[in-house]
Amino acid sequence: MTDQEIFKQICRGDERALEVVYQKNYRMMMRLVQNNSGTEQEAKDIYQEAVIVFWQKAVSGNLVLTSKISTYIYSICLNLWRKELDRKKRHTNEEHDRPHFQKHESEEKARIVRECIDQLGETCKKVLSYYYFDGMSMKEIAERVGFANTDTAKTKKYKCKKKLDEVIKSQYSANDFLD
Amino acid sequence: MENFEKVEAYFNNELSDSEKNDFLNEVESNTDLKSEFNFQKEVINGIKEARKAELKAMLNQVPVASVGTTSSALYKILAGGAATILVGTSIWYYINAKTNTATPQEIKVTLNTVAPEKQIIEEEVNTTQDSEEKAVAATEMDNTQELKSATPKIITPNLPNSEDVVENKALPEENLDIPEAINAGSINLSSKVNVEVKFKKKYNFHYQYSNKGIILYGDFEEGLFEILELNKEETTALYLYYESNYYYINDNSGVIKPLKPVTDKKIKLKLEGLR
Repeated sequence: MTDQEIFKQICRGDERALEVVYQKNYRMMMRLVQNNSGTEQEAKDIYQEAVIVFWQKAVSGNLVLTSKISTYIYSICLNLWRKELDRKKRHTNEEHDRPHFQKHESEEKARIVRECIDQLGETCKKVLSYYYFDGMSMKEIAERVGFANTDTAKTKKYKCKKKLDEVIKSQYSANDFLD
Repeated sequence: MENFEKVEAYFNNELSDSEKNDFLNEVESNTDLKSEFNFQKEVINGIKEARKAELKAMLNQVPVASVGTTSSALYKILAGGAATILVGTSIWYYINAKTNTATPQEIKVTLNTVAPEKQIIEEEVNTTQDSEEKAVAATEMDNTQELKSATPKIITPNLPNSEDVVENKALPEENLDIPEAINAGSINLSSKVNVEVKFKKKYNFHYQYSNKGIILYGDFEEGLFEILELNKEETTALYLYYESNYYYINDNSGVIKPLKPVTDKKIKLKLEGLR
């Protein structure tokens, strides 16, 4: 499969094509970080972040591929790792504690949302994820989820979001969820 | 319009620039709207994080090759092993020479059992080159001399092809307590050769061996490889181990050659033992 073929599949939201990309470039990207003072875990985190950025850009239609996929992901990895190294260089103990706390808080909120989305069912989960994270248009969502048209997708998305808000508010207090 | 719809419209990018400004101004002055705004912002972040976690979980399930020990590190380990074996073998030879001088009877028995195998080697060599006969004859002569002088000097014949390395059975394995690594005969793990990996479209699984070292052509990034060395007295046979297979590296002319798998079961067994 050529890069262009893989890219087209990814643009259509084919997660298996993303797996192929991930597997194909794994060693190269891991080495990039590991050969530049990174641990194996850091390398994996950076690489996964980069692959997900690539996915988001491709699926949302915001990416015109002018280089090889590996080159593109490599440059994202490089930028992410540079940022991380800068952050590490700058951070003092006090600064270190703050992001850790914030990270924990945002992870907790994500857990709550995940738990509540699961209660809504698979369709709502897909519609909300595709819309807010993948940045898909209503047309693409309608095609992927199997709705008759974009209006149906739009209505479904509205209802799912409203329902999600209600579920979260009914199960968690403002203190649990808001600062 | 309810607060929910207002905030929805904002996050869905459905507002014009002026509407956005009006909305943000209202958020600052209206506590309920601000609360709804912050809530939805967190929910949307949560949805994004949840999806990211889902994708990460998916990626974590993808089977990937381990990026643990690099090949250069492996060579260092192998180099250590080679040095240890070399030193060990030297010590053993030294001790063995002394022991055998002290107990000539033992040597006699050992050499007698070795004789038939030497003959087999001689027959094989006769079918190939005359010069090899001389080598074998010299070996036999050496053995006779060894019997007389009771000095267990071990000499193996020079075989025509370095691929056909014959096990050196002349070692008195049964009579001495030899460490397992040394027991493999005159075999060494290799680390002395410089190895380089290059990518060329034309050569996808090739090697180039010269006095400068070995260049491997192909996608060797996918898995670890090892260069193994079987040493005889004067010749050295090199092999590549890659993805559970052994390959000959026997042409040191500097010409790029395809990597061919080792088919000789004896050699494979020996290489397997090495690893």
